[in-house]
Amino acid sequence: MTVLEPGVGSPLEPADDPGPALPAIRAHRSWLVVLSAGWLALVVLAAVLAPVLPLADYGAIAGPARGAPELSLDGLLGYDALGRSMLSRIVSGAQASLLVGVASALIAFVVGSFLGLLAGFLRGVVDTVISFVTDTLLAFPPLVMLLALASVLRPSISTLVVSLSLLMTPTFARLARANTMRWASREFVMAATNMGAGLPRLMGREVLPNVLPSVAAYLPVVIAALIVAEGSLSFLGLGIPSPTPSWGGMINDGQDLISRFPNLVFVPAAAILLTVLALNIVGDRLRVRFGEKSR
Amino acid sequence: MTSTPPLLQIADLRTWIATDAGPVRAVDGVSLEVAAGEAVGLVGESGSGKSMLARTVMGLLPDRAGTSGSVLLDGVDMLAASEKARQAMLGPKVAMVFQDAGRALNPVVRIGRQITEGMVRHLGISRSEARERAVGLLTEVGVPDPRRRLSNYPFQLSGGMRQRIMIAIALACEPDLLIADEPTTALDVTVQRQILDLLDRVRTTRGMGLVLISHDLGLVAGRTDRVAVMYSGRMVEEGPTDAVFDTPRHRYTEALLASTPSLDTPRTRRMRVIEGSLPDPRKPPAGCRFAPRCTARTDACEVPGADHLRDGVLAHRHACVHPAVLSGATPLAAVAPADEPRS
Amino acid sequence: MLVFTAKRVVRALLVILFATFLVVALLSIAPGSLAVTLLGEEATPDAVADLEARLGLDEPLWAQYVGWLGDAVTGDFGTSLRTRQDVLDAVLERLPVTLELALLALVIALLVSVPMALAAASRPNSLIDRVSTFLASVGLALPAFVVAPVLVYFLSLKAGLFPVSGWERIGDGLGDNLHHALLPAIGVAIPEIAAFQRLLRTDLDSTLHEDFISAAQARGLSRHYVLWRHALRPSSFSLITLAGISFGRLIGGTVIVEAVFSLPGLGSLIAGSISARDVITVQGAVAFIVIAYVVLNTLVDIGYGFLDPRVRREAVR
Repeated sequence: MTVLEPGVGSPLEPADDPGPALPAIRAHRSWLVVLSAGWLALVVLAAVLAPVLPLADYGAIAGPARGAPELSLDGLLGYDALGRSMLSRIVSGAQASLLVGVASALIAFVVGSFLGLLAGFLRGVVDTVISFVTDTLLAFPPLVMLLALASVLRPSISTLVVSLSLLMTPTFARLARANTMRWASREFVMAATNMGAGLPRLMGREVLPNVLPSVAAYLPVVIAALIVAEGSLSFLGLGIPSPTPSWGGMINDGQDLISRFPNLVFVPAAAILLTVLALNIVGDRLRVRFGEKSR
Repeated sequence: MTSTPPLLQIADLRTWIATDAGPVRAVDGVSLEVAAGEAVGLVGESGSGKSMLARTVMGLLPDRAGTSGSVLLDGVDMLAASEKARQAMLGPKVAMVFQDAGRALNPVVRIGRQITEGMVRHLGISRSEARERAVGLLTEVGVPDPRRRLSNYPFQLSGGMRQRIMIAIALACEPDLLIADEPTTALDVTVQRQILDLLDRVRTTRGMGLVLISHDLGLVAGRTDRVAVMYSGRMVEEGPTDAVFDTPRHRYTEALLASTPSLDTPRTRRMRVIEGSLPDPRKPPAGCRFAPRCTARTDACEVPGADHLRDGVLAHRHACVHPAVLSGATPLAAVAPADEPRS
Repeated sequence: MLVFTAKRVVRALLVILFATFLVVALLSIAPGSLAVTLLGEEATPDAVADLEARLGLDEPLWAQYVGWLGDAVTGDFGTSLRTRQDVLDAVLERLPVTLELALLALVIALLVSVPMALAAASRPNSLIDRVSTFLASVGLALPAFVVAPVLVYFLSLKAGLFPVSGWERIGDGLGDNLHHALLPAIGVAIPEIAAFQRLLRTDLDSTLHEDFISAAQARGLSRHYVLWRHALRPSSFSLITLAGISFGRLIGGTVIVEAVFSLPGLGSLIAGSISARDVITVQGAVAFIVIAYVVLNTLVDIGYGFLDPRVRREAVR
């Protein structure tokens, strides 16, 4: 609100006064970003190092069924309904969630950016066709589209990645198209066109380096959205097929026992909450830094 | 002007905006008085701080702004008053007409509500009574078919009509002082004169004080009692309108007059352009801020404090180290508007 | 305005045609023979051929689509492979549950997010702004499948405020109905609250820098009045659009909470049909949702034109 609070700062004498201090917005937000990045690093590290970590196999019975958390590596987060290590399953779930989320986001990013660049740069019929297909795919509510695909595809990690990347490709195509159109109208691109630069060269040298960073700034947020989507599918038993653990699947498994053993649900729920929150916070920061405002 | 305290008394006002590159000194030590019923012109280029001065009086500064000094309106310090006390002044004591009515009217709120809401809040009257008064106000400012206009949205009206409605809104709570910030800049030339005449008329019939802000000296010339000239946040010249107009003392006012094409400008003056641009408001020059662009500049101009206001004849003050010589060539009466009431 | 409306309608029709084509084509993209997948590896060739003929899989894709479309316009979305029930009947039977959940969630989301955004925007960078914005970030990280079981644990099992599962129809009493619908709707609403708060907060921020806000403040109107009357209205139009688009996510959320609370809605119809390999029901339900979604967003677009006088003027030009 633009109402003046009387007496902000101190009265200024002309010329050499340093002036009122600025509100410390930056400092406040940055420790959240650091914490988020730290958590993400921990999750990625755990997922990558999962094979060499001294943890029981996620399928092996490592302790008492529904055992409470205890001071041992396997039992740190307790044991599930069959006595399998929750920590081990969370780490394996991180592996699956990250693999699926990152792989699908990258595929969608590459395919979507390419289509968006083409549409935004060539315009005309190409643009009309790509935009129409994009709009049509966006006419499917996300989870409904995933369910439709799940109804005919055999459940596996790879079909899941295909479905999820299909889900996000239109989003990246739109972003890339909007950014390309903005850049393609700048003087230096016009100048390059007039100097007879070939189309692939123009796109590769002039437009791409300027468009990609602002589109790529959306990657963390998209990965977060895909982890949520994968979790939803796994929760419904249509995502990552068992026996591979997934966070969504663990919540589903724990639901029946929640009244007496709530940590069977709370542990995977916390894992999703923290990871998605961290991705969004880091993603917001990246978008402010590199992303153009576009919707 | 008599011994009664002035309606508006601005003393050593400073307004600055904090930016990443340091504070911008928008208004930097300005004092100005407006008596009841008096019309004062406030003139300067865009960026001179005249609009920021008006916004400070109204309390419409951005979050990162700070102020010092005092703004006494009818005895109430607008800078020190509580939010509630200040809001109670806005409307009944002082009102503002904005530069571009197309942007200052809410596009999705009907005209009627925008006129009546202030009356309902400040005058304690019912909505229907306020609507009746609004019809009268619209008639007064020359809006045809006023009853129907109340249910219109701003986009359904022409620019001139919108500015008339802005004026009606400002008049709604019968303010003692009206601040008009470039009220005609966004309008066609033919409409400009109509709006200025309207302001003149409502001011005289209501005995209201007026601060008319403009970048155009010629525009305020025939319509104000006194004029104040601002440059880079500082007051450089102030005095009776005719005196400032005929015998500008500050080199900036002189240059400004010479560069302003106007019907009222004597033909003997040649059109001139002021070389250079306004100084960086974050690092203004010490001494006279116009010095870097001034043709009469000497080392004395760059001494800090060189630009203090000096008293002259007939309350005509200026801040120039090397004031223009009083020519006396033009008799005052020749340019002074005949139809202008004196207060 | 007429041209604007006509353009939107034509575009919506084209999108619906292409989207439903994709839905029909879905049956052909399945790897291997869909009939074999459906019947199992040990099915006899006769049975496979029979099913393929019934699904129309032996015909070329365009013929399949024309046939499907011809039936669909007469309200025939096919017959369930499993229950032999008419798919449209099954959809319509379950629609009220899903619709009620989605609408209730939308109302909850708006009721919570609008004051949150106003409080945040009215004093930028204040504690209340930071708290409101941080809560929105947390909400975005709480999808229905995470938050619904947790809500059940605390509010149903521990506090005993709501039933753990089940549904009462509105016809059997609004109180009972809301008692069963409220908790699932809250589960769907939480991520939407966050999305709305963020959008409205951003929009309000730019609105508050407009001249007409300064002008309203210059009339001595209270902070509160200026926010609700002058800032919220111009900011709320994009919120209306978002509410339309969010219907897609709301449907996704209801699929989840219907599973959590065993509610007889569209989501559980689709999820159940997938596990029963009833592709015709899935196809019909998905087509129905997509059509409804496109129609709704087109209506929002057109309605937006009527609501916002600024757009109305643009459209007239």
